[in-house]
Amino acid sequence: MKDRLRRALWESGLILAFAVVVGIIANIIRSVPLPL
Amino acid sequence: MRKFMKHRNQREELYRRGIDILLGALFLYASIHKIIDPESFAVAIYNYRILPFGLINIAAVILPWLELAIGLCLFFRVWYFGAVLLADLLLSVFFLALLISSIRGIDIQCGCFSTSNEVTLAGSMLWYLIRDGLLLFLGIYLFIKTFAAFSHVKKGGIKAEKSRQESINGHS
Repeated sequence: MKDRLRRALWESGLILAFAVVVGIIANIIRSVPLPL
Repeated sequence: MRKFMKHRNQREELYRRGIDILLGALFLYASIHKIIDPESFAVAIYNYRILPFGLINIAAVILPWLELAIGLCLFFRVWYFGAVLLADLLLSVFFLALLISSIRGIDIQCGCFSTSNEVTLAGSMLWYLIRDGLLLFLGIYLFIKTFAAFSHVKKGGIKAEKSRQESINGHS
């Protein structure tokens, strides 16, 4: 269980990093003005 | 008995796969509107009045891509453990946000699968809570089956079960 949780933390970090990088790049490329 | 256990494991695996595909597809579907229209999603987040002002735009930019990534990972079982953990975390956060809003008496469009901010008849908070609660329940089931199954095997649960069965068969 510990091994799986450690692996889960590592993988969730990778997924989060992917989302942050792609989200920021996509927003820069589209240059969508956010309302807030 | 062994045949029964095998069938049970196969059935559980089938349930797990079904929930993977269902949650993956829902996350993918939910992310598309938000990726296309981040402005409306930012307004939907603002309507909850939970996040501080400075974090709303960041959440509106990152959350849809996070949902897309989780959906793809669950669907194709890539980085599966991380995807299950993040999916459960997100579902819990969404459920809590809806619960807090309903306690405060704020009636809003949840922004889960559509970024439209008009409050419709179908969009009642109770319905959102029931729907998200059900999804959270599926997510927790997936989490338990994914993370608890291994500890059972590691502690020799299957071996213990086998020896118990052998002793039963030996006595009969």
